[in-house]
Amino acid sequence: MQTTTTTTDDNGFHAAPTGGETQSGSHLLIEAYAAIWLCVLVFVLVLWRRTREMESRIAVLRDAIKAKKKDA
Amino acid sequence: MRLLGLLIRRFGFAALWPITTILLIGTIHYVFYVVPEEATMGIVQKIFYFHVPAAVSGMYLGATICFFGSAFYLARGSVRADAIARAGAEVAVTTGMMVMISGPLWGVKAWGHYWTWDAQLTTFLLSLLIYVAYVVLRAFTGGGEAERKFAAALGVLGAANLPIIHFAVTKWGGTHPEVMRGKGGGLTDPRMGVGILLGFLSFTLLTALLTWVRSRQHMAEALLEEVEHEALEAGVIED
Repeated sequence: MQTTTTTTDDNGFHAAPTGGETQSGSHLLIEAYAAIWLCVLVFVLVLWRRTREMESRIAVLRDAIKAKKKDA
Repeated sequence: MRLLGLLIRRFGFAALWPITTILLIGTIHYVFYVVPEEATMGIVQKIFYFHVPAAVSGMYLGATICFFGSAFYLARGSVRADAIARAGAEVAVTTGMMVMISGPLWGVKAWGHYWTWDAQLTTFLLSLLIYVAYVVLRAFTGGGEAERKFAAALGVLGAANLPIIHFAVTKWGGTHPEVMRGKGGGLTDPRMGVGILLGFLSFTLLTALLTWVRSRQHMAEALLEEVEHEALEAGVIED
């Protein structure tokens, strides 16, 4: 039967009892933090693309209105 | 001059976005891997490199943009100024929230509690609530002229609290440190100084980028509504 070991400090993260820590926890934390910022900046890029699409639609509509007025 | 304006309008974002991204990620790398840990606070002190720039280059700068945009809108009635003011207020709320999240995390380590009704903290919270009110007002009351003018007045009057936040700690004391104003210690290692400078630079660019994107979006939305209405009347599109 497998037993689990507990320490007096249960607030922190602990490596799995069957194996050692394969990666530095603090490095992973920093990478996660950087990844969150990257996600935010990618979202900004998506917003920008949507704005450009709106601006293209404005240009198309303006041309159509101009053409309609010219025909009339 | 017109050509420069056109070039900035066309390629400004294409230049600003990668520079901001690289600088922000570079700042994270520098702050966590190059800047040494502070002796008493340990790794928690590194919050400082994001907390202070988020307040100064984010919240204060966004609020200042909102102030000038609002004042210009009240004076001239320019749609562009209104869009810039609205974007500035949104940036002030976003970065203000970053300050309000990162500050208590530092506070719980330094003071033993997340929040205290200290003069600087309270005035900062008040300012943040003013810009939240601005954003909510613009989001839920439509884009009428009266609403825009009311929001612009809020944008102008809301800025009056900014210098009070800055001088609150020197005037009325309190627990908030004065690291950037000479007292309170902190930046003893030159790498710490570079870290905070990088923080200020990346948050200034982030504020510029966010203001740019959101103001362009607000302008495009207002213009699209106008053009669609015109197109409906001309019979170009159907309802």
